[in-house]
Amino acid sequence: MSNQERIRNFSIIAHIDHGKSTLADRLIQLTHAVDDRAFKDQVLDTMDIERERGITIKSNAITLTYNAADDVDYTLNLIDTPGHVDFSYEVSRALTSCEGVLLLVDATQGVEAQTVSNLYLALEHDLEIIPVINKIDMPLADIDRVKEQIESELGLDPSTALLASAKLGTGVPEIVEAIVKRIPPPSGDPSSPLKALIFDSHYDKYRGAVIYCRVFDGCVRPGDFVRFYSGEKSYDVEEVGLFRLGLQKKKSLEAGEVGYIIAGVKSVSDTRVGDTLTLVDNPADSPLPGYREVQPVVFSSIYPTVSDDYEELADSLAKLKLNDASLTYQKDSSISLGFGFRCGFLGLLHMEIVQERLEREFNLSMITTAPTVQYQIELSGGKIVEIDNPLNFPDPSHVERAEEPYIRAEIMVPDRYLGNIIQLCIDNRGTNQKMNYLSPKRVELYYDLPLAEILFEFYDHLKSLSQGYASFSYEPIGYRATDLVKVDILVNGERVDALSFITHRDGAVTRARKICERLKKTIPKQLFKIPIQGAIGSKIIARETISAFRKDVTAKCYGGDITRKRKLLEKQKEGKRRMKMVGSVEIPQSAFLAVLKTDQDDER
Amino acid sequence: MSADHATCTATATATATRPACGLYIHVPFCSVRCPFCNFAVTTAREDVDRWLEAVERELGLRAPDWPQAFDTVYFGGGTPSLLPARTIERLLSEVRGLLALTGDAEVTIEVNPGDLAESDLARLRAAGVNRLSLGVQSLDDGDLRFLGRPHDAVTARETFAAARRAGFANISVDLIYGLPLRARGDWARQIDETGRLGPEHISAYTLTWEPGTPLTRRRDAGEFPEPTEAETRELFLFTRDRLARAGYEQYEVSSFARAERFRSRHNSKYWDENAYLGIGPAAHSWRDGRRWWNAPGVRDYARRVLEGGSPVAGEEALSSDQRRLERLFLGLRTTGGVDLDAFRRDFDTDLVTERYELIAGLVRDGEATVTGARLTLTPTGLAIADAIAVALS
Repeated sequence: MSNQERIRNFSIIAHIDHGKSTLADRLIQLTHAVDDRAFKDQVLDTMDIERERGITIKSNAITLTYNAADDVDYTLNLIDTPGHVDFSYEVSRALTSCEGVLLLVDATQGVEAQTVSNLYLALEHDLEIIPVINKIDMPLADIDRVKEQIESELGLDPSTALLASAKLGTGVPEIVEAIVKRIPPPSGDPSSPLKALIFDSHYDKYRGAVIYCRVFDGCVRPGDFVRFYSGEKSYDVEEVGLFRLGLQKKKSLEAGEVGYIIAGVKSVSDTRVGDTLTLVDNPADSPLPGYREVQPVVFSSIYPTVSDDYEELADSLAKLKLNDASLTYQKDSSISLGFGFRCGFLGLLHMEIVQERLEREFNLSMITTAPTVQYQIELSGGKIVEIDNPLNFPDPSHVERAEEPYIRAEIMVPDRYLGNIIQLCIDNRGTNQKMNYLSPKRVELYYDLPLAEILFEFYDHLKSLSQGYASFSYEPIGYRATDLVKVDILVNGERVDALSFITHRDGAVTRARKICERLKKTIPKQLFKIPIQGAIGSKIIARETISAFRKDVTAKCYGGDITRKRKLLEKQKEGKRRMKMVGSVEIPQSAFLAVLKTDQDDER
Repeated sequence: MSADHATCTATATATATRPACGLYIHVPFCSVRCPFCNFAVTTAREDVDRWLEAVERELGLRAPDWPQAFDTVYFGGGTPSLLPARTIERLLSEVRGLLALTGDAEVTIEVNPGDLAESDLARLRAAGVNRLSLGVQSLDDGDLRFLGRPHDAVTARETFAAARRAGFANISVDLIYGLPLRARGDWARQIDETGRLGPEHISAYTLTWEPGTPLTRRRDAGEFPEPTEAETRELFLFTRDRLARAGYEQYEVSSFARAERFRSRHNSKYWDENAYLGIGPAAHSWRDGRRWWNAPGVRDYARRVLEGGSPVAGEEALSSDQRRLERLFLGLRTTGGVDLDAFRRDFDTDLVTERYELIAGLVRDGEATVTGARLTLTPTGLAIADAIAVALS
């Protein structure tokens, strides 16, 4: 039996909370990859934020050794993938590195939206699919119903489904056997030139970038001279190895294997997900397909709440960037918020995560402005400028024409929600390109949509309008002509530049109104009435008024103990220091965040 | 040398024009602790003798350092009316011997209904006490039970009448409002009945939910709701109007007087930042930007003094920012407001220019007025005086 025949590369895909992390934990325990004493739940989610939110942000991998029923030791590579559309490119690269997946379905919940969309992703990569019905120990488990759904909604043979309770460990040995028996081994050519697919990387402060890869063809060893297909630079391979509990050195990584490479790469920004690594002296004739340079699509500014923290914010962003190649940033400044940074993100979740990590890991308090896409604007002189910041939006009289980025969305949805989804796309300035019936009940829709529209509430609306059943993926399709306006928000008559946004003229009034409403809810009442207005130039298009503060009825002052009362008031004053002053209006950080909220948050 | 000389001169000049000082004597004893109270009080009456000895000693120690005129004496507590009248007599005579008490000094004692017979009251009056602060709190027995007060409404009326007969022509009555589950009409009746009683002064204040008190614990346990901010605010404004109708003019957040001469001269010292000397446990003193306070426990206080040490447990010299905040929150809680010229002199800034937008907004919304170089709050502004002070600080 060749080396490759003893390798299985797989991933687990599931709707959120269907037990993916628990099953991964059990597989790891069953194969004794991690000492029981060192074991903790969600082994593969190493960041605090992943553990807390129960989501996976970075891809991860672990190599397990399993002695199967045929008494052969198999090497099982479990590749854990992020679960959000922002990281869909990373997910697709991680799945490319596999030959099969465990498709997990909760026996009490049945097939759900993400189950379906994940299945389609796996089918796209021609992966072997092993359905696993999890949580069969639960009193509400309905295995027969789930089996029916697997047949009718997923189009899979229900007799191939395995039953398990990851929590109790029931059925886990059968799952491991099925991985060996049903998922095909990799079939690369060990003697061809090296082709290794990068599916993620992380930064180690002593060793630089640790590259996560799947070797498709050839072999890589310490001492090899390698280069990335998309880059110019060459690197000396220092070490290769497998992901065990930590990194385990190895003499070489060969075709079919999943592991890591350390090659003195200074920053993760030089290791691009989807890129192919090959040998300098004996290069492969072509890279692995599917590489795309990941570009930030959402831009927003981050300002420290207290301007003294600017240097700290700069430091923290630099440190984050070491481990997050997709984050971009440059200096920015605003009249209302002072100095900060203009950042580029993969999407809204990515933006949220960066913000949360800055707050949590670097203990910073900051304000984030509304996300914007990058517009191309032709000025009257014919000059074309790229605008991704409302602060830089040119005077309307100088704008000759404007273009905004579009995407082609691929939406799969059960036909009963079709009407809802089409309306949603139309409402978001979408134009229909194609519609196919995949089965009598399942429709595939293609819509061209402005990227800016899907940044805000599109995804949430899509999910709620289809009760979670619609799957959604998209690809950029370039720029198209548009009619843009810049909307300013005035608080007590003063423009708060950090709240300005660029939008299509047709949506300006609606969005301005919404923002004014939200600001009204989040800006605490001040000591006098405050108008909040949305304006295009000098024309007011939306207006709300915050009524004056009428609380904190002044209490009795006790005798000569003025100190006690003063300390109380000093504390109140300290609380206000965390707000931004615009004129004499205190605007809390949450008001800037409120602008980013979705409609669903409003209803909560 | 020349700098020292300059300071001396300045102090001397200031003393000449400076208002007289106030004397506060803290009597920490109570027969029972009220369930809403978190003051420095004790129910251990066996400590009275040592307390008295210590207070007399402290007076003697402090007196040489306070040569200025005093025009108020205030026996506060606790419950000063638990002391025998002769003790007050004795203390007052010692005060007269040690301090430069003016002939027209306002001498107040806090009295709980039922504590003193008419003869005791007459004796106090004869000793020179000329103002009573009567802890009525409510004229409704249900309220009094809720507040855990040891007296009832009839007793309160009797004590009031006895005080009149004993010759007290300046009586203040304390009232508490904002009790849970009381209708506005209940409170209106309290005000009207108190008005018919006819004290010269009324202190009407909202029930404060002090952390750790039995009443606050009962609220937290869900026994009854705390009135909302909106309800409290409405009551605050209502109180002002209703008392005005009964002939009492508001001159401070919780203080009302039938005429300007009946305003509490002693309490005004706190709001006007005049110097005061506090004697007894937990008493606070203030002079020239410095504040200090005595140890709060009776025994600790007495031990410190009687063993020849200092009873002072803490002190602070205020920074300019702190003084500014105090000027604002103390000044704005009175209808006199903040003297803008004095503010400019003391803090080297024109408040209206510096906070123009805020002050203009307050004036526009009818929360404040700026007239005759004074910033004063309107009734609705007064309701949120602390918040305005914080914003202006």
